[in-house]
Amino acid sequence: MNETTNVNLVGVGGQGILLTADVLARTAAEAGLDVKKTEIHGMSQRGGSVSSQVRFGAKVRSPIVPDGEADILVAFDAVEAVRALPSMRPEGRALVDRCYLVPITVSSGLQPAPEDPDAMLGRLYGDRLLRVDSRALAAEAGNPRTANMAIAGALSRLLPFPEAAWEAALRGRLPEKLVAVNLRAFALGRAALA
Amino acid sequence: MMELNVDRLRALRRELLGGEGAAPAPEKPALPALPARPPTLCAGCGHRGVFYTLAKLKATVTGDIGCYTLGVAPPLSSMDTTICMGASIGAAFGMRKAGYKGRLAAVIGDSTFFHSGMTGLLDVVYNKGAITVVVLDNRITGMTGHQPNPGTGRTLLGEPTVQTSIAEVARALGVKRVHEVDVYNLAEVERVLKEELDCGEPSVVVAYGSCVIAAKKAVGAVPHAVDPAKCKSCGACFKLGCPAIVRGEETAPGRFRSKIEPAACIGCDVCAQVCPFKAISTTKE
Repeated sequence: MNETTNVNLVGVGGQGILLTADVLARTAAEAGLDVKKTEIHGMSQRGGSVSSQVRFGAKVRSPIVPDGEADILVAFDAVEAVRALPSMRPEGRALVDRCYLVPITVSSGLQPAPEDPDAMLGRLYGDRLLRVDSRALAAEAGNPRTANMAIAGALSRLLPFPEAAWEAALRGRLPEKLVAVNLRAFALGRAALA
Repeated sequence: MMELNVDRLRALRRELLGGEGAAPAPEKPALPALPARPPTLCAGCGHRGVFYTLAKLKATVTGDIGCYTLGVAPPLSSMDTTICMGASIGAAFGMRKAGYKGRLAAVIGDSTFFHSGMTGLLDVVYNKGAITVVVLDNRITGMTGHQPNPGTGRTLLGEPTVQTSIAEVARALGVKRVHEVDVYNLAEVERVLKEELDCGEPSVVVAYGSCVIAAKKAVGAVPHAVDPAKCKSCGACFKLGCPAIVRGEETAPGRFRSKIEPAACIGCDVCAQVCPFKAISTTKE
């Protein structure tokens, strides 16, 4: 791993990207690293392309991941994963959800549908691509809104942090009554990428 | 995008320091054509049903500055002007004075109304402008990150304070026709808007529905679902432009059943009220 690890999280507003980035940042901090994080969302609160970048290492000076330098891409949506390709290092790995949310521009007929997202991903990312079906895992955990923590669980396989650090971060970020179901989703995601 | 990102700063450093500094960024990989994913009103946002109704009533809509400016975007396409903070009321009033005879609504958020809508409304009343001012009242300043405003009931520091009523302000300014509606009751919204848009005098409709995010409506929300046996692929729900409503099965070329993303839906029920076949309902047991 490089001195600083760069993680780019992308998806659609409302999928829980920013919360996942928070949990990741807290986990890295729990593990004793310097962490910086930034996020970009549109002029409304939901629905548009959203990204958050988390950087951690011995000393991190700036929160922004330069294009071409993301070590890990975490994409909550397949088409957003394609859009984020320029952010990646050539050898960087992409953890991409099975989800593809049809943009409003397509569902309303304003723009043509893209090529099959899975085909695009296979071509562009090749063997750097890892897939996870967070919605199925969240359903199994018992709450569709835990899909983001299923993705976090899968992501935990790609990073050197102990499971206890993730759990502490998750507990620190979520209200008590939602902790158990989110931990279940996290464990399922972690097992899915074993 | 002209932000001072790392690439741009590195390029400037190379330019200013000659050969020093990092090597030029590697060439960007070519991407396939991708559809844009512009910002939209949130799933369950109370503004959506009001714009849907204004479009249905074929009103000319002068807009203002806030999340609700997104009412301009397709498929709602329900906003005709956006100029600056408070301009919705003056623009509608000016159009009326210039001789426009159609239905005219000025749409403004609660926060913008307190900021610079009240003076315009006073002008409308004083100079007998026959327009309807629709205040989209979610009791918060949404777009900029949920700052409280004089209608919220607490100060920026979180202390309880006076909660100013928009309806009372409108009455005090001299508006005789003031109505308050629940944005999630579309039949009510349509009945009141139709009556007011055709009333021929100054009127104010305060359309109340708290901000989905500020009120944390997604927490513990029970989503709606589409019954594929009842869905006739008519596309009526797609006209709401709700990000939780996505294309499902293609039943005929170019015709799609709708499907609701359970993780995005907050169960606001607006799509269920729009569906002519009663194919959408709550998943609540």
